[in-house]
Amino acid sequence: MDITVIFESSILQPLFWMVMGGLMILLFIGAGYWLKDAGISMSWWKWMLSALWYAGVYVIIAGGFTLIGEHEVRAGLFFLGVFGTVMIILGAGLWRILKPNG
Amino acid sequence: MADKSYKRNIIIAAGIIVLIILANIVGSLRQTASEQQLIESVFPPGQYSLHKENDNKWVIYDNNRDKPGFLYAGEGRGYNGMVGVLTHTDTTGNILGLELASHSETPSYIDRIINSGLLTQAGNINIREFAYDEPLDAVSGATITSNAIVIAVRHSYLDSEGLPREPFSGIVFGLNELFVILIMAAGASLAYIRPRKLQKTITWMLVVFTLVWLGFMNNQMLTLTRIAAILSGYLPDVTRELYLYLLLGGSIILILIFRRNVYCHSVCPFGSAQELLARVKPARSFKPSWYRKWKWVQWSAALLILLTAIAMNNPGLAQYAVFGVFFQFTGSTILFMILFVTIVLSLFIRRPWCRFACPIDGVFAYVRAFTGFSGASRQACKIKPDGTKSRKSCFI
Amino acid sequence: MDSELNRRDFLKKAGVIGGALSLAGAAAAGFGAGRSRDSYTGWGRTAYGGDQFFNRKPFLADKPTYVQTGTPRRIEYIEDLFKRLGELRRLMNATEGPRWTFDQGAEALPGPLRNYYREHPGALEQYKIALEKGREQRANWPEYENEFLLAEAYSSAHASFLSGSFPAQPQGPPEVSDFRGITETNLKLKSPRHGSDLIKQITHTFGASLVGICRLKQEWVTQGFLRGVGRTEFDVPAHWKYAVVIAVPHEWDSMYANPTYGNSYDAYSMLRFISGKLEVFIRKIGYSSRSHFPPTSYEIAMPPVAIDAGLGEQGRHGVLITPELGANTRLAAVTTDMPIEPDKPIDVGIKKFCDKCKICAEECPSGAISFAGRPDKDVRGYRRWGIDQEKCYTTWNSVATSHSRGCRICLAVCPYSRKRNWMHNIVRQVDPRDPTGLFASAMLTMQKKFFEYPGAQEYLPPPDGNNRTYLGPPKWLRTDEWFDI
Repeated sequence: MDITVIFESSILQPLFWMVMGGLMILLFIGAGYWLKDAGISMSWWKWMLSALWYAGVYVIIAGGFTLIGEHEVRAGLFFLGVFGTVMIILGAGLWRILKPNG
Repeated sequence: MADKSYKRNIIIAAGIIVLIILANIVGSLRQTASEQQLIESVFPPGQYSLHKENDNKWVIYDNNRDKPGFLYAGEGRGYNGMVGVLTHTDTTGNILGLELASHSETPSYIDRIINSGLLTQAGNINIREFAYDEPLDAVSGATITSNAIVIAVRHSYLDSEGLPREPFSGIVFGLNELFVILIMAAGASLAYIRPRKLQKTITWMLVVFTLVWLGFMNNQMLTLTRIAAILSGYLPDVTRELYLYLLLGGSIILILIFRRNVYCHSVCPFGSAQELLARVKPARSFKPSWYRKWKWVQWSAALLILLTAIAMNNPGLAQYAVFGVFFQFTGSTILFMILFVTIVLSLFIRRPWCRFACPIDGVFAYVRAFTGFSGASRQACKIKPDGTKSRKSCFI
Repeated sequence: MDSELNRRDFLKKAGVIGGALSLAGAAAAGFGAGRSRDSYTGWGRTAYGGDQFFNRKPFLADKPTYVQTGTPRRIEYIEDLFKRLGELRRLMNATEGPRWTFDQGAEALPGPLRNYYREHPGALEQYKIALEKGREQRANWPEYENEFLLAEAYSSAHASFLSGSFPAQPQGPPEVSDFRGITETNLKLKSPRHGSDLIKQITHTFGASLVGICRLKQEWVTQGFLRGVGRTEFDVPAHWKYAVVIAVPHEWDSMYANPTYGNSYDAYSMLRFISGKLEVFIRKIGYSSRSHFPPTSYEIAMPPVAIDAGLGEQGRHGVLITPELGANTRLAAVTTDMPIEPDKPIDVGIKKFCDKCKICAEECPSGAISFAGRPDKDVRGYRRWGIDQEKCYTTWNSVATSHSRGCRICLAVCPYSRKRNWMHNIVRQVDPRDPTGLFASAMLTMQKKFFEYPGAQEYLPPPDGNNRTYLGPPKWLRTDEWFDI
């Protein structure tokens, strides 16, 4: 069975996105506790930057695998490698903003 | 103490000279294909009949297609050595095909040339147009190689027809060269500037400028490949690459006179890239107990690869640096992976490439060995600029 | 205490609003699902089996659900209604020998027919009624003709392949052939806009991916040969006023596997059917029409007409590039005098992009495509990139196919030739709206750095190349997947 079954099904596709939505809520609730335990105080703009960073990672992973899915494997891997590196660098920067003295 | 390292430096310096000479001898012993063999590998005798007219021109007959034509052979100066080009034309001089007969260019540059269709493009042009003109657009990222091809075609035509070569255009001192000198001077001045604020400003300006101008825009940096080429006796085209002589010569002079590796600290654009990455998190210095021993591994690897490349007559072999991958996005998959690891590490450790892997660091360490027996530097060897005495600064 | 209450209040209100919004969202999503083109079974994912989406495995049965009650026998020819009626019609209209009439009854019929009608009493009478009804129907048609004009035209269009070669080749001058079979009608189109909207909708149902309309410029009409007349110098007929331009793509996976796994005929056969049917449809609603389709049945040059019709722009490789299909765009057209509203051309920056890209020129195995920075050749009064037709054709004859079936590698490597998914759609929408051109430069850089191009020579057979294709062939075209070789 091929993964496209989910995305060509009129039943499985909406279910998939519902689960995704649930997972995101879990992620952010969980992240809240992690940050609290790490002694990081969050403000609305810190949350916004973190969410933007996560959205960036999300889009890059989706993009890389879209290319792989359409048989452009090399392009997909380079896409992941290059923009993934950029996101790692931005992530390090974000961490510095979240925890200035860490 | 100082006497001991003095002797050691003499041995190292002499040893390196001997090794390079030996490698060159091995290289020259290696059988290189004759002109005849090169031509026959491209134009097999079964299909083509060849009749030599002069050193640069053959009359060629395509037996299968019943087609007469000419074959021109010539050379141009590339990055790592002479680039030999065979030009096949019909009897009116219209080019039927360009073939790279011999070269020692870095494979990724050759890939660029082939992928860009430069050789196919020539198929619409008459060889006469090459005489005093440049009818092909240089391939970005491989300009020197593409120019070498144009020059090779031009000279093969001019020489074979007994026409004069274009006049020597003279050494051009341009913006590039000016910037290289300014960058080197600014880098050298850093050690003598006391105000911390000014020092910081200059450092930042150097980081950004070298990264953008030398790195991304012009791809002008020292690589082991080019040093291997120079050490095997190939001098790059001074009219097109004066900056390289300034970069290399300047760095060596600064080491010999001031004992400062200005190139690695302030000029190398990849160093700047790591410096920039180090400021993101910010990164810490990482100096494990085995650091000094590791240096010997790093430097020996650089020497070994250098000697192999010279002995094999193929400077392109010496490409293990990630510079090309970073600034031009060309290279093998392994180099891409090494680059990825280097970049991620740079966020946490300061300059991991310079400190643990870079071959250029090794090259300059060997250059520094030559200062060990010049009187002036023996003084500097004992006393660091900040006034403390140190044994370390004798070699590292 | 107070703030606690406020918070509660707020959350309560937010909960109600959120609940209501989620119901509205469900309504929107449901409506969208109902309307989705993806739900149009047979016209969406057909080619990849995606329409056969029902999993039959849980319902596999050992016996079919029909019931056997006696000794089975094969079907007699005469048991087929249309064969039977055909036989009867022949006997009733016989030109030689006596004619059969209903009055003579079943007994006067030859063997098998007689047996059938003996066994089915009343069947002959029923046929008699059907024939009478048929006469009535034809007599009454003028009464309904206008109401069902379009339905009749649509039906005729689809039925037109039944008669001989399709579409019927023009015979005689366009002033005659383009009007053959035309319906006389006094109905007036509500407006040219209605005309063009109708034609576009109909053409889409015939299978056209893209439809555009333009006023036909004289200079795009060929000279020296006219289908139906032969070799002749001719003036552009006055009734060739508009061109309805049709575009379809090649099947994507095989197109990317050009030159050896791709073909031109998947698109050509679709275009022949679409333009042929449209030709019939337009005549059936009362206007002249003439189809122009590949490979050679043309009196017009396609790319410029398609540009006029707003489908796209011409690329460096001379092929039309459209936003939806990229260079994977194959064209046909129907010329007509139906008063329809032409579209306007578009400028989405394709031509400008081609100045810089040059990938097709770099990958062309024949070197036929120009490398010039800007269009460098004046052809019949217009500036464009030069294409060396002879060199191109030499590659048709060089690649590993049974005979010169074409190459199409310039279609496959063109950065615009992309399927429809979120990623490429973002690029499609953002790129033409970016006035700085930075986005296009970034995309081109990624195209050249990330994507792998085998290189012009590689597409040729050994010794020059290695029979490479741009992307690998789809499984369903690989012989070794299905046969032992």
